[in-house]
Amino acid sequence: MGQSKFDVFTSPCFPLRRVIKGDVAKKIPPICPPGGTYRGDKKLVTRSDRCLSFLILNIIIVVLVSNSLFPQDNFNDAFSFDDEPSVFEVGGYLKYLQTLQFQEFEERWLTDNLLHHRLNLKWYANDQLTAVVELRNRLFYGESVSSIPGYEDFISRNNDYLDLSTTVVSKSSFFLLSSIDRAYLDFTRGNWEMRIGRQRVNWAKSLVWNPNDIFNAYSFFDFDYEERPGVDAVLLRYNTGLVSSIELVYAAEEEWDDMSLAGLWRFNQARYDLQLMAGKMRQDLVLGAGWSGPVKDLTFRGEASWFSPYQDEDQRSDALLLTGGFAYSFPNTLALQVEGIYNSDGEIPSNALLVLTEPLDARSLTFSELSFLASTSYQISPLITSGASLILNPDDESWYWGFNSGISLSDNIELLLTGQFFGGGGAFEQAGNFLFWRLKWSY
Amino acid sequence: MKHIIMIALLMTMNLFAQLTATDIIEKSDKKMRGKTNRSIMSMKIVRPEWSREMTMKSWSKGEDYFLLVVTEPAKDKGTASLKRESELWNWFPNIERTVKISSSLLSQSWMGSDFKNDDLLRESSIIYDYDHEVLGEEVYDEVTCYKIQMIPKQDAAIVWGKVVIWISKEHFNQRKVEYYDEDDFLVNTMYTFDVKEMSGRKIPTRMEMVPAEDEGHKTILYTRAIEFDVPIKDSFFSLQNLKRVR
Repeated sequence: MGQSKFDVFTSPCFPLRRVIKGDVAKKIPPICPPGGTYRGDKKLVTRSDRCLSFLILNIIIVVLVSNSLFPQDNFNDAFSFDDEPSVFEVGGYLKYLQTLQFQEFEERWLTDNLLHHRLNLKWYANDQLTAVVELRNRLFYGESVSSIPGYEDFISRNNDYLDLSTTVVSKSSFFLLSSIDRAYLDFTRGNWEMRIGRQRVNWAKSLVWNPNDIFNAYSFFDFDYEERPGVDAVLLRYNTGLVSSIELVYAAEEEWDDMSLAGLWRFNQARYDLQLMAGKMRQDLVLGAGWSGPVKDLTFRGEASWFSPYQDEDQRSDALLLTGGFAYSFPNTLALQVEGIYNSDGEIPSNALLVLTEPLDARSLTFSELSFLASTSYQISPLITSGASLILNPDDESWYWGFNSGISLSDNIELLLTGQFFGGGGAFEQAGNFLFWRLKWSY
Repeated sequence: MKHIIMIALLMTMNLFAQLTATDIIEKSDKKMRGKTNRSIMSMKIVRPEWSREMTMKSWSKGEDYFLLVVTEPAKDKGTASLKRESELWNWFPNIERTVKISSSLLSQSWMGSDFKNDDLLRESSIIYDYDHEVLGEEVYDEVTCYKIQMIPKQDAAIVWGKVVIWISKEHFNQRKVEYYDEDDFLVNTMYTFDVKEMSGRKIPTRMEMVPAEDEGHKTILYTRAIEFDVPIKDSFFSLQNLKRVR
């Protein structure tokens, strides 16, 4: 059936060298490779001992809470068919991705390969309790691996609260990484939901830039990691209505200043999905709002977030991020989207190191004050969906354009061809150009 | 005795004769959908060189509430759609995101098939959004059918210019439907086959949507299981359950 036409939220790998020049640039790998997600320059600590106690604590809380707090559930009355779905589900995929990187097409190419296996395990313990573990194994080999010092360290770095990643093998020409990016217990009873463990908290409303998505900010360019990284958190949600809810999320960190805690209220008014949020994201206080709804035949989506540091005010300023965009689809499946972002704190840093050390998070989504995106997709046949996108940063006159084409080879095998091209000055100057092709078998 | 049967027969015929076109459509719609239903369906997209198949479960209540989840293939498993009155949402499990769908998408093909989102999500009502007129009776697939013409009402958001529908006289099943565009050209024809008893009703269990222009193209919808008038509360059709159904 090709790619679902709504499935447009996947896109490629972020070039870390955006604004980094000179010596600094030479010390780091030229790109954040597919599957690698740069999330700050914090020290990597092994915390396996904390892992066990955290999990045990989780289980105790779930059991205690389950027996007292929640009202009865009527989900199953309507849900069950004669043939019950299985209690245990196994799924996932196997992907092969080849990356070709170059500054000039006629000049030297850098070729890299990634063999990527994902295993999703889901156990429906009973009507209310579900346990989920999702694992990714990635084998990297190619020119970047063998020629760039520290490449493996760069790829394998993470700043997760619990260290659930390991390098299985590391040789000069290849390395194998294994990591768990989901591991949680989900407890649902009546209108209450509780999820504890490593999970994705998705508060996004707009298409590309998501200042509301404070727990799992991601890069538009990292197309090969659809699931996005998880965060070690506790989520408590109360469904106040059929299309409204209140949720509270605590993302664990050792220090108070690194911890995030925020609440979100989702509701529906005049055919709009609306949300309001407030809380703390590491060293910032956050207030935000998001919306999605119709303007005539257009879909209007957007988010606004205001970040205010509660310490180091002299070094870090308040930031207002505002995104808004429209989407329209023609009956012939041609879909058009435009989106813009204003980032009051989006200046290109004078010190390139700042870029290196600043984590990619909801307040540092762009390195310019204004950015615009236009994208289109078209279903050429039920098997082939193609699209293109363009990003412009008027501040430094830098630009990006990319294309993608998803081709269904069978019910569960898909070929993806995509390219990313960066140019102009400033933010995208040295990012380079990329061609990718990927085979994916889902099971 | 013979007379009594004759009289009874005449009375029955009389009763049917009094059915208006709208009555027939309404009776058929109620029969094929029930007040509520839940079903397991497979959809096969057939093209001259290839075919793709997917399986889904759905729950529906009246015309306002609909919930659907894909169970196969693995690639799309868990993808779900919810309709509440005039609003639509999709759920993508791999990115854990609920996306609100604008009404402009209703006229688009559903998951790349020959069905439109509107056909599956039933935004429009075949009862209230059309004016109906009985054109006569015709035999289709060895059963006598009412042939009814349906013209969209002025204010209805219908993509078709005209719809002609064949409804079997005995079981009130929709056996054939022709969809015409606003220039009166035939766009799609839906045929139904394999009438079987399911959940106490005799219903067609195979539907084929065939585009008029494209030879060798069709989409087949198989009803694997269906239950009618099961108790489903309005509250089942929630954003919470959009993520939970499987």
